Amino acid sequence: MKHQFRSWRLAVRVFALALVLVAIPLPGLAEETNKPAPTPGLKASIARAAVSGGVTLEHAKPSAAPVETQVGSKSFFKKPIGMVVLAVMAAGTGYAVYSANHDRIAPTGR
Amino acid sequence: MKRAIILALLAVVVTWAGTAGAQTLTGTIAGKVTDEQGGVLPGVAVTLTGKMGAKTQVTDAKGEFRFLALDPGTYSVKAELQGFRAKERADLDVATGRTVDVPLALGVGGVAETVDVVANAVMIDTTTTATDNNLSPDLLASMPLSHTQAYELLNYSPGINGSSAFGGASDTANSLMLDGVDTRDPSGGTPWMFFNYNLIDEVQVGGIGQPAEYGGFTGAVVNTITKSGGNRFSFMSEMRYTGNSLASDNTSAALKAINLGLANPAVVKKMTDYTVQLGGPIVKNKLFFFANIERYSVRNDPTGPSTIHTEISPRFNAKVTAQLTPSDVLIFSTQYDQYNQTGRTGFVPAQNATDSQTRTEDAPDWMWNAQYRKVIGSSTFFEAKFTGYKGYYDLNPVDTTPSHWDGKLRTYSGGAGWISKHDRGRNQLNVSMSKYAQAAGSHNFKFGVEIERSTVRDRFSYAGGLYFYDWNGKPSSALGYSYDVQGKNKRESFYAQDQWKIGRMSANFGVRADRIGGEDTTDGKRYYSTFSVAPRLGIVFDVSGKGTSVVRGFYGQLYDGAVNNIWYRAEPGMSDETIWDVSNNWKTLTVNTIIPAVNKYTMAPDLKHPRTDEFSVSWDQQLGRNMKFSATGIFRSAKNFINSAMIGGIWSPASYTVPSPWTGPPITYYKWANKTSSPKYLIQNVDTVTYQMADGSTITTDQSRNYKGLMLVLTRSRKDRWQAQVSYVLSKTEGNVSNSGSSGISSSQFDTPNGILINAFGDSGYDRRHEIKVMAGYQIPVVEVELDAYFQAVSGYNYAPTATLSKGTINYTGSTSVLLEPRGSRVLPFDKELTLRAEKVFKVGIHRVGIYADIANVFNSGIETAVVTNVAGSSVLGKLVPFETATALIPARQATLGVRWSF
Repeated sequence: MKHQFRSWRLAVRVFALALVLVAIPLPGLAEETNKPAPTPGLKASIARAAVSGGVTLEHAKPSAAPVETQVGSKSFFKKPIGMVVLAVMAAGTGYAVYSANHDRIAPTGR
Repeated sequence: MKRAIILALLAVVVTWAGTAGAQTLTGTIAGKVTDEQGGVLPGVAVTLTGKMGAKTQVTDAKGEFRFLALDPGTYSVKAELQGFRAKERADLDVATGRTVDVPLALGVGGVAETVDVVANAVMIDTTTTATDNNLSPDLLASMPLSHTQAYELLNYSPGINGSSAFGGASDTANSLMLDGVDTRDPSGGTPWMFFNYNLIDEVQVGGIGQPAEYGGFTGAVVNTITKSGGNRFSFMSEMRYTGNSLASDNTSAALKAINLGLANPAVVKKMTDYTVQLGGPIVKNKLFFFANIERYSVRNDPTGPSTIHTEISPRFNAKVTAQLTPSDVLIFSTQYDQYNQTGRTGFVPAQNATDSQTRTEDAPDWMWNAQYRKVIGSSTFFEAKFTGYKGYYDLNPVDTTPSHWDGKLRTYSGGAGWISKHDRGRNQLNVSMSKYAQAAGSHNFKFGVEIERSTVRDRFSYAGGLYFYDWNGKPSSALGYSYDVQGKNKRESFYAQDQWKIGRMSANFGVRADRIGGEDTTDGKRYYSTFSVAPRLGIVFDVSGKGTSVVRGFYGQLYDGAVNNIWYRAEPGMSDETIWDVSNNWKTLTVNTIIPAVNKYTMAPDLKHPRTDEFSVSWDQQLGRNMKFSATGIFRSAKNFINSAMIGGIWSPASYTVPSPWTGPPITYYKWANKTSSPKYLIQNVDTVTYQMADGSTITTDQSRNYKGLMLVLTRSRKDRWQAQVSYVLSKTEGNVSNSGSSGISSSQFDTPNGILINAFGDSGYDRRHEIKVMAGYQIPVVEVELDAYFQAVSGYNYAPTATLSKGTINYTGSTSVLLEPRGSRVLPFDKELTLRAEKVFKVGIHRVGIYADIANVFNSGIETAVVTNVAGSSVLGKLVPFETATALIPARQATLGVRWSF
């Protein structure tokens, strides 16, 4: 029964660690590709529609990718405000993890 | 297990073979591209852009396109074709379960692009019979709604109060879904998982006209969708605070003098709640994350002698969304909530309990959710979900000595009385597929299978093994029993439905089958087994042909979810009940009676699962671009009530004159004529029950509970700095089985004739005749202060005077309470409450910083929400509180301060 209690605590710690690991490397992982969204089957569809007649279809183009903003790129987290965001996230996560460990009412009979 | 695997495989096979959507979490944008003369344009590139990137389709031979499986949010659609001017419609709001129709007419020639922004325009779905009561992100972000009880957001919707939706039971009738996870307690259907308000992206509150994919409810379906990460980093941090210096007292001096339990009203001494959340891309257009962390903490001084009640809940949420291809999405999400409380009351009622007569609660929960969605072409959508949770709550008394109740002095002593441990687990697999097809009009087929296995283990014992019944400070008797009951709910559901659209008309056909079983995990026996087939039929007519005026009609059968409360009393694990004679200064206990638990309750064969039939008619009318009016007429009739009734009981009518101060005429009550020491009860459908009288005659009673309602809703989406939703509901719920608690599935109302044959028919406890709800917000120019208000004026709860008939009077194993007037004959005062928010907003670039103050119960009204219903009064702290004295009021005025930063 005690084992189950420990497993909860362990789980909280693992979860918190995972959150921190997810949050911190984001800037490096968030690639800025600027590639348009893929449009599989576009040519085939246009060709099919053209065969059905009625409209001349030459170069129907997919829309360009959305304009990048500063919150859509990794550079945001290199700016002071981005670092503040990471600090707030780390502080909030840390406090919640601390609370989960210290404010817990000890389970009995488990 | 083997059977479960076979069923799971069968589910997959069936859904792949057919076509579905279970508790839809996504929406659709569909439309037709034409030239300005109305001729269809095939081959047009239509690009949809949302927070997870862009997708492009090409219109088919009929000029149509359809983007399926879209997360709720804002999208734009752009149509491009060589030789035509491109056209874009931006700011399209997609809600769960709804189809946004986007007709696009392209002009010939030129390169100029037309951008048609339809920000927050009201869209009426012309294909579904379901009412649309979504709490949009705009409303959720701005309105002063309860942050601490996010699972109760349904109560802000029209027709729902105290969690009773359209006359349904307050405890058992609502389906509470969080990202498709049924968050209810499988024991009794009450909310089990709690979650952070800031986690919510959108709340869809449905109930009227729901298609077959929605099951497990006879009240409302609350479909809560959580936020996700996208290509753009999003961040939010919020802190909220309130304390006793920001609170008022709404209890009058006169009431404090009469009811000592209210002399020391509840005060929030300190509440702090902070949230941090961050979402964004891990790999652009491919992989996204979202994390949300909350720590909620509150310290109250509760009503009555106790001085401390705390709750501390650290909550952690994480979600990862992988867009494997433009057509394949994989989502994993999880939540850990460590819900802890002190100061919970037990055997000793709240208004009497001291701090040592309370209990602590340890209640951690873990929830998981894995989803896979696949869009096949532009016509087929497959979805599979594996969801569930595991958790428990333990209640332990601060003082572990036995509790004492003195019947003469009407006082409590000793500890909180009992210890209990409650384990819960839920696993659910949902597989579904939707397919759009053309055949004599257009069809939207859906088929799905759901498999649920949920577990309940409840352990209970009195502190010290018993509790004492004293008389005038001296020992009298003691009672003791315990239980350890372990049940499992097994549910397999299948549904099939079609939205068949021909011109302006849509026919909604659907059928849902639920097989619900209940087992005990210790003996493996099945105690409950039902199979229900529920048709859902509806017609939708687009009166204007433009989606601006729509009429709907619906008939459907609704069945409750799987709840262990129905059969748990028949399961093994209950101990015998022992009554002792107590003497010698509580040192000597002599067994007086042992009531065997074995076979006390048995289940009737061929049970039918609790059901409600619904008829509804509604009319939606668009009023301009941003306003919508809807009127809905609703009739609901509850059936298949389940309760226990005594086997072989014979009863003798007798007359009873209720003592002063009650002045009413004598009542006819029923004495047990063939009393035995171990009565047996049958858990059965109690729609018709016959009681055997001692003179050989019988009395038969037929049960009912019907709801009639007219719901009027005016919605104005945000534009020109203001938004509003105003609703009025006129309704009546009456019958002889109440809609409070779990009256319709598990109570002792039928154990003797006294609960059902005496004044039982009338207005239900949750019959709130008139209901007005207003949400309104306005952003003041120049100063940029947002003012938001929530106002409700709802008829008070019904009640009727009661009297207690002692066990000697009715010759039974215990006393019972009887109604002296028809159920609900009296009504508490109108509950009028105004909650305000003022928020000063600072915008710097992409950043939004808001500093706000919420004031609940602005007028500090002391409206009564409960009174003493026993005409003999009630004992509080040893003093008699007279009949109809208030025992609870709405919370006093309280200000909460908050600051939030987001981008």
